[in-house]
Amino acid sequence: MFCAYFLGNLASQLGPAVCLELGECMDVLSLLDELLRSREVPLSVDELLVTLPDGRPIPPRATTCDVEEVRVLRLLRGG
Amino acid sequence: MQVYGLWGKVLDVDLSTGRVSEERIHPITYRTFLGGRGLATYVLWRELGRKWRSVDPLGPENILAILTGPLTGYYPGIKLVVSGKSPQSCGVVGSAISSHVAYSIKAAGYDGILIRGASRDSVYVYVRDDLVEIRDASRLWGLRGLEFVKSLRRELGRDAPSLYIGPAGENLVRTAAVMARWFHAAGYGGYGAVMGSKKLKAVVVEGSGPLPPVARREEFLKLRYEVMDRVAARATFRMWGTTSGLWRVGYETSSEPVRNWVEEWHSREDFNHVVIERKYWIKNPWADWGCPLACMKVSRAVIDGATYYTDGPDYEMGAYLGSNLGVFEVDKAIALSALADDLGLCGIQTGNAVGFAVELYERGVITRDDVGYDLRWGDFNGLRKLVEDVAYRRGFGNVLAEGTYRAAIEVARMKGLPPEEVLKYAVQVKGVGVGAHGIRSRRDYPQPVAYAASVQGGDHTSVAGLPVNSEESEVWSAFLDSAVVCSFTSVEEDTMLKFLDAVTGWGITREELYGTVGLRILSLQRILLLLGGPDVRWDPRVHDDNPPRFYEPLPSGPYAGSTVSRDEVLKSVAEYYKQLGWDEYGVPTEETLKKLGLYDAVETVRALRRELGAS
Repeated sequence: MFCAYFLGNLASQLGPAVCLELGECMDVLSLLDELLRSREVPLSVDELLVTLPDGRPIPPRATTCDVEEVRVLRLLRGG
Repeated sequence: MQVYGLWGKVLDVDLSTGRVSEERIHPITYRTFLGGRGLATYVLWRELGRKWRSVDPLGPENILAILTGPLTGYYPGIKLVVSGKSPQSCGVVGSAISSHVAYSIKAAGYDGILIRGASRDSVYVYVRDDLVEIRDASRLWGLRGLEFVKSLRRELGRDAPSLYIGPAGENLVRTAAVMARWFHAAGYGGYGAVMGSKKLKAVVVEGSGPLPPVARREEFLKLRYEVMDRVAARATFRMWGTTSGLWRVGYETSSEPVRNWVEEWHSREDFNHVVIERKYWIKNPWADWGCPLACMKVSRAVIDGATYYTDGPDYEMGAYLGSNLGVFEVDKAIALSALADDLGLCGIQTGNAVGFAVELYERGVITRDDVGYDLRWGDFNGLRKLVEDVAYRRGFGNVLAEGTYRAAIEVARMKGLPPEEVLKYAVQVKGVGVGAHGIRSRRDYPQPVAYAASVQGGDHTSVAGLPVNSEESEVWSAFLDSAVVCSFTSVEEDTMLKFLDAVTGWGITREELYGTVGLRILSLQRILLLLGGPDVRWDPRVHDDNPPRFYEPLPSGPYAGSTVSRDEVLKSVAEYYKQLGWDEYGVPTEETLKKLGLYDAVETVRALRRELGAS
């Protein structure tokens, strides 16, 4: 089971958490990208902060077999 | 005690007496307030806190603080914070600006510059390492931005990093910005007017020395390279900067101001970053010192034989001086943005005030007799004239030069209307026009509580948010503005704190950041905001709220009908205050103040609570 927990307005768009039962290891960022597209959220993953639940960054090229939970919020605030 | 990443001293310049001195800042003060916004708030509280209500932001008593932070020069990107008692909110606003001056101040051997008093004649402050002079600025006074930069170059014989004001600041326009390098602005707060009130045209800094040593050099270098790589990989932002917001925020998330926020959506496919990139950008990418993101671009437009230059325009400028005024022709939005830059006006606050005026005109609240000419959505010539009139305080421009909130009060007086009949069109919070990111669609980043509970009013770079112990919180903004880091190059809190630790050796933990350090800065800002004065005071029961417009359902776009309810907002505000350790009025409790070590604020808070009738 892989779970992504969303903060702020992302939570009002996607719900506070999305948990998925996956049959294979998937790249975490690619999976989130797919999720955003399927829910029609107009953001790319480089506009998000994706961390472990304790706030540490996820390892580079982390897969859903490496991490079970991530915390996701918008990175770019303003402009 | 050794301080790393900082010099432990700021320049103190008194323009009334001409006295220049160095003030040592105790290492514990830095550890407690970091720098930038935090240090400015501390200095203002310490020196003006007891008489805050009587201090005129545009009087000689106010202190203009130009401060770097412990991460200035080390963390990718280069920013400093301009602060003081704000002529907009009458609280403290930390107004960040990208400028080579930030690096140069540290290379000159200081962490910042405090400017107090007021000169009788126009001057500029010149710093070259340990040489500090107050110089005559009579040849520079009155010049617009582009001409000022050229003239300063002629005077010094070279380009030198500078912060300066245009005619708007000189004329004490409350929406005036502190400018740098033609197009950069510290707009929120209105500190251009504070510089003008001190007869200070510019601060020029040429530092040639090294940066202060860091605590752990190897670890710092490793983190710096890691962050540089991560930031440089932000391809979308690097390619289009914030300009892409003109399409993305307007069309995709429905949160862009359109015609004074009557709408937040548009479908103008010719009003977007790709058109601007193809037809108007003459330089891309463009960056200040040490920034791997390079999100800035330079655009040029020619209208009726006049050539206009601006950056981007970045999203906020393009939105506020474009769609918010009903202008959907890119060249005209560029021209208005360039005009605001050149006059030294904050594009956000000015676009907010001008949009408010156009709506009043279209509704017949004000007429041609008041303005002197027609004001219509999208009418470039009328809008251009009004922007200039604001900067020079001419005619109705003089009313708008007070900012949207004060202008609304004045229009109500002029027309014999109850203030709320005009304030309902003013999209501002606590004297600060709301940044160009709406809350009604909930598809953008500001939460419904964002502006209502912010200590910086409508400032979109410092929004309140839940939970308070996350990057959604205003505590995080206070941290970024105090460390001092550009939010666009920031990463997650864990790495940011490791970076801070490698530079300073302070060992600040996540719990400390949210529980004490950031909260301390925010709490002091909140106290000073509630003190306010002399001309405005904010009652939390009335003013900790969104502009009325934000409770109207969105009339158009994919999220038509969306809105937020006032009940929901007020509940969120209450929850936000509770999580911060503030009482039901948003006043920090005595227990919280003691936890934060702010014992000298306890009496002030007791008095505030008495005034509010709290038990």
